[in-house]
Amino acid sequence: MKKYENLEHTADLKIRAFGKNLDEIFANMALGMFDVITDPEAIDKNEEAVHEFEVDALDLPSLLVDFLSKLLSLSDIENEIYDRVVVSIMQLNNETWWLKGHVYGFSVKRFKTEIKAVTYNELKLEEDQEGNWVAEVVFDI
Amino acid sequence: MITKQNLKKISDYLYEIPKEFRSDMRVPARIYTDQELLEAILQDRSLEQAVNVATLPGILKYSLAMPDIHQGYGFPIGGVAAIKWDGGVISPGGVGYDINCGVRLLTSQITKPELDPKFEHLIDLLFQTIPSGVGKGGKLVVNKQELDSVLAQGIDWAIAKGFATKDDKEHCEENGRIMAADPDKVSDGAKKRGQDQIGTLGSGNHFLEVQFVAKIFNEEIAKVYGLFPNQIVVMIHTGSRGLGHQVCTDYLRMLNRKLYEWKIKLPDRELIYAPLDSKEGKDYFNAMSAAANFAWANRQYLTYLTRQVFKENLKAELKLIYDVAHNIAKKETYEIEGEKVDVCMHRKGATRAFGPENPLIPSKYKKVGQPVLIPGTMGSSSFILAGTQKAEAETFGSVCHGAGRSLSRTAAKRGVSGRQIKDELEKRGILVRCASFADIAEEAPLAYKDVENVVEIVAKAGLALKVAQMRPLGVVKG
Repeated sequence: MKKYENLEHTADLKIRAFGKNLDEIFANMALGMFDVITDPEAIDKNEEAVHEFEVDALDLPSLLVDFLSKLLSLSDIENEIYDRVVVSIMQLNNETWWLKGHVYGFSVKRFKTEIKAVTYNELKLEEDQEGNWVAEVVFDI
Repeated sequence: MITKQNLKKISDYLYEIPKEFRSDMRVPARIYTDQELLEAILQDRSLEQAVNVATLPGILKYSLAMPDIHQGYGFPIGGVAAIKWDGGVISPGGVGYDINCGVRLLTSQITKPELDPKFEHLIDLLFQTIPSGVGKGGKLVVNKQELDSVLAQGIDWAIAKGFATKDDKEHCEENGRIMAADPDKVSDGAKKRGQDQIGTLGSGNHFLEVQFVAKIFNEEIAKVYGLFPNQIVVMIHTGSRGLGHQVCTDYLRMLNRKLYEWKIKLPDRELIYAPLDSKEGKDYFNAMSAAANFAWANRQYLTYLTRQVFKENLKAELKLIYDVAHNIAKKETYEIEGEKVDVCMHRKGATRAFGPENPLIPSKYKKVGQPVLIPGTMGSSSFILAGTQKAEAETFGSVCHGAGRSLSRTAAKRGVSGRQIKDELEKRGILVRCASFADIAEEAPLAYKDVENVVEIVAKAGLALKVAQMRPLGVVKG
């Protein structure tokens, strides 16, 4: 199954991700995002990176945006890219969604493309009748 | 979908979507464009976004759109809104992620024929000196305490460090410093991203370009601005880098959580706003102002580096003509129906264009209006215009900011490779130095509307006067 694909968008970048469940679709969207910013020639395979993180939000689409924003910021501060993402999502109560996760990757000398931000524009996160998830996120680049 | 039938023609260069178009509009939306460009504008959702902006509480007169309008997030890029300071709101989407992205123009006293034999060497030196590319920081790394000074003081920090002169400060919009800036309202994450990014261009459409004055349209104003034919000038286009992006992201997140509490109904989540008199509204304004100051420090430090290269290699001095912001919210005052009203002026991909006699422009430009800098796209011309009193009356002193994208980045890349574009430009005598060829393809000139068209519409609508046209000689890109 395809993990993600890039779609046409005038000023920005739009990624559509697929997943069998919420955890998977969040992880796949993050992989799609890092694919855009990674310059394969600039990876330092000797410098491995791993981080643990938590994010909470009042609804699921916001959780997706906040989660991607968190990873984008981490990558920019640490000068790293991540090629393995593991997340676990829980609804704590009626008002709060929460996720905990790990990213694994490498130090980089530079990035290929700069993503300024993860936006709420045309944001989509849907489950189809068979229980598969599809998400679309527009990134400002 | 908005179609031509929904638009009322006001003049050859101005169209209106009446307030009656949608029940939640508080004011009409007005678009400066001609018939031809309008066709292109109708291709994306930008006019719908201009209609959404017309729903913001406290918006005055019109939701305005410039001819370079294209689809953004929340606001269209090329969108302008004046919102009452008392009782109104501020929207991070009306500023954008790249807070105080802007342009400055430096002039030299050397001419193109004098520079030609030394040019290739010069552009290589500039590429080595100017930190471009994505992520990796610049040569200047500041500690947390010093970064707070940058955020609080903007260009005054650069003066204290010897990177700027008092003359530079006078030639920046807002004198290069918004006094409301409060570093404590900027998150630690945003500060971490900014610590090594002062004096970096970044990627995307940001650039440093060496240009020459190819054409003078208005000799009198050109003289006041210090421009002459064949003069070598340098244009710098960049903003507040990762720090600004993070400030916008942080406050959008915070305000989106408030959606539930404030029970705000929005046509688009990116249009989230905060009342200007709420804690959240004030905090965002103070943090955004701090990021704007960071951007002025950034463009100033790049200026300092560029000046060193010109001085050491050409014994040439570079003088700052002006520095304009094109993604910003500021407190400005306008006369509306005979009364002075304080407004929160949102310009998202739009340039301030104050006319003659405005007290906020440098005294030497008082008779002719402020310089308005319109960067072209890679390989195309850039323009200097002069602001007018008509702009102050019609558009809260605002005009376009550039060409405006018309082709998606993916489509641009499919059309042609970065290497091909570089070769093509070199054949035309324009040298390109960049960290990544992929980036070049995304910024291919064909991906944009024609900047000359956009400028022509603004001039014909009387919002600005054409002063001079510059053509590029060499570009340093991210």
